[in-house]
This record gives sequence, C-alpha cells and structure tokens, in this order.
Amino acid sequence: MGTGKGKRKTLKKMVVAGGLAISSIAFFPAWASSANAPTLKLFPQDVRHYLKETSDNAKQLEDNLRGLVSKFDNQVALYKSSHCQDVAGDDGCEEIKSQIEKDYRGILSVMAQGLPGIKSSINSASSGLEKQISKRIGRNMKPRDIQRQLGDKATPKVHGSLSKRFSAYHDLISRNGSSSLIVMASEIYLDTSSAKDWVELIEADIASQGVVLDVFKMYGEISPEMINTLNGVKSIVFGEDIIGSEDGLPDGSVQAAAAESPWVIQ
Amino acid sequence: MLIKLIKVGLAAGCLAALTTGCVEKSARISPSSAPLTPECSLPASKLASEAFREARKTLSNQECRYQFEPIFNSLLQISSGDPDPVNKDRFSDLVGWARNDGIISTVQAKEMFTRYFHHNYVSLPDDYQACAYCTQLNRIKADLRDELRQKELGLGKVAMDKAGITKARTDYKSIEIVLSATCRACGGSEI
Repeated sequence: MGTGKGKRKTLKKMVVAGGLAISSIAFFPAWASSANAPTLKLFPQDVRHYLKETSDNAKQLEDNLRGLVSKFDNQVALYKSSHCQDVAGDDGCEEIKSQIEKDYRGILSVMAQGLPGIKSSINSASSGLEKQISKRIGRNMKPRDIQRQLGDKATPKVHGSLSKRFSAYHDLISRNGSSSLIVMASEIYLDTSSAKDWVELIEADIASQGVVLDVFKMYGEISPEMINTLNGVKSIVFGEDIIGSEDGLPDGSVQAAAAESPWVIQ
Repeated sequence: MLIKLIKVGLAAGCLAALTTGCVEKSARISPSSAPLTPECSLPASKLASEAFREARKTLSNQECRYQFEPIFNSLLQISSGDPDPVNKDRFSDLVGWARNDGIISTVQAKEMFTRYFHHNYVSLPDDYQACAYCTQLNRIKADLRDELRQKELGLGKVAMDKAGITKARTDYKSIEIVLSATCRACGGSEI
C-alpha cells in the first residue's frame, strides 16, 4: 500500500516537472532554441525610428546642398584661374566675387536650416542607444561576457555620407543577420556620438562665418577658413559610400569544438 | 649577571642562525634569482618535437619544476622556428602533463594555453560588470593588445592556425569597440 502511494507521488512529481518543462519551451521558444544567443533588446523601436529620421534629414540636406556646393566650386575655380585676387576693380571679377559670396551664404543658410533637425534625431538615437548599452552591457555583462556574445562573423564596416551611413545602420538592424548585435550597437552609438560632435562644430563654424565673409568682401581673398568649412561639409555630408567587410579581414570560421584542447578557458 | 650574559649571547646566536637559515631557504625557492643549473637548462634543440622531449625530461627533475614558465617560453620560441599545426597539441599535452604532475595548477594550465592558442581573451576581467572597469579601460586595452601579440605568436606563428588568429584579431577589434562604447555610455548615465 505504502509503495503504491510512493509511486503515485513520484508520478505526480514527474507530470508536474514535465508540464513545467513543456510550458517553458512554449513560452520562451527563442531561449529554448538557442541558449547561447540571448536576444539583447539593444535596438528598441524609437532608436530605429531616430536612425531612419537621421538618414532622411541628412538626405534632404545633401540634396539641398549638392547644387549649391558644385556652383560654388565652379565659381572659386573661375575666380582663381582669372587671377581675380591680384586684380582690383575688374567688373568681371567683381561679378564672380559677389556670386561666390551669394553661394557661400546660401550654403551656410541651408546648413543652418538643416542641422537642427539632424542634431535632434542624432541626439535622440544616441541617448536611446546609450541607455540600452549602459543597461544591457555595462550593468549586465562582465568584460569577458562581451566576447562570449560576439558572433563568428565580423560586423560589416559602414562608411560614407551621413544619410548612407544611417540608412545602412537601419537596414543592418532590420536584417539582423549573423553579425554581432552588441558590436553593431556600439559602432552606431560611437558614430552618433562623433556625428553629434561634428554637428556642434559645424554650427559653431557657421556662427563665425560672418567675419570670414566680411574679410572676403574687403580683400577679395578666399580664406582657408572658407575652404576648410566647405571641405568639412563635403567630406561628411557627401562622403564616399562604402559598405564592406571589416578591414578586409577574411571571415574566420572557428575550429570545431571537438578538436579543441581541454585547456581552454571558455 | 654571568648567567644573564650567557642567556643574551645564546639568544643572539640563535637569532643569527635563524636569519641565515631563512636567507638560504628563500634563495633556494626564488625562481627569478636562481640561475639555471646544467640539469635545469632550457631546451636546446631547434626541432619542436625534440625540444618538447627535452623539456619534459628537465621538468621531471624535482629541482627544475619551478622552471616551467621559462621552459614554456623557450618552447614557444623554438616552435615558432619550426611551425606546425601539431604544435598546438604539443602545448596542450605539455600543460596537461605538467598539471597532472603538480608542476602547475589547473587554472595556470588553462590560462597559459588559452593566452597563446585560443581566440578567447583571458586578460578580460570576469569578476564584476563592465561599467565597474571603466576607470581601468586603458590598462585593459593594453592587456588585450599584449594578449593579441601572444596569440600572434602562438596561434599565428607556432600553430599556423589561420582561422584562429583571424578570429582573435576580429574579436580584439570588436571587444575594443564594445568596451569603448560601453564606458562612454556608463559615464553618460548615472550609475
């Protein structure tokens, strides 16, 4: 009699344990299928939205600037080839000079109008990522856990203009291939931080361009400040568009675990 | 009075004898100050297989056990001149043998092997959350760089493990990026 009671108790325990196991798998399918790859919520919806918005705002700025910058470059080339800086009072040179001044003012005005929107969306994306990285990596992982989270493939390196970079980030997150999410989030966060710095620098630059234009009007010399500002805008707003593998390193597939030494710290 | 003097003299003599004894003892166990005796010499062969045999023979001598680290380093240098994928197994066998013989601990065996022959970075701290290490970020990055150099020697030169060293390089860059971003994020938020 006592033995039968014991058997029934054991059976009851097994049924409860089995039920719990099945419900765990049913409720947490991702966890059950890949215990070594926990899903990190590093890219919440608002971060994705702000990355897309940054890309759209930057694209708008690029489109508005492209024609003006090209016109400015042509006028500067003409001014230099005509040796206008050495001639005073020539009508043709005065005409080119006023055109250069007008185009430059136009560029500054487009930048001044476009930058606040870009700055706001970059700031929002950056602070959203900062919160997630600090919470999910900084306060949730030990440094050695970081390597445990890395995938087998290198994260694609994203270069190019602001709009292309942020659009590529948005695409990479949406595709979410085999690349490591923590590396991607870190790269995007560092890029948003440097883009923030760049926007602030350009804003400060624009604020000081009134003096630069006055000097140009008075002496007819295209100052290095004007050229530097333009070069900065061109390299960052238009940049080269390259999306490739990390520094050209081949993808290293790790040797099979079976061939590994027992003397490896995991 | 005479008895007192004798007592003081005896005490001083005992103290002197004890001190000398201590000095001799510490000189005997300190590996850094002790020169290699002929029977504890480093492997001389230029062939890895022969050098490993020599190393085991030397380390089997009780007097030479403290020389494990210089012998390990010497084997790395010899093997870099005789590169072969099988060298990784030779080092794995050596640390396993040394651990079973009580020459090194299990932790030392794993640490030494992984440092040179696996893409995992043992210099990454594993005690506290990442934010806690941000004040030491530069030192951690320097340690990682040193370990990458050791992996270049072990995985790259000695074991010719192309996939392994590629993964070690890629991981090094990724870890640097993640640590930099994490420390920036930790500093930017209230922790």
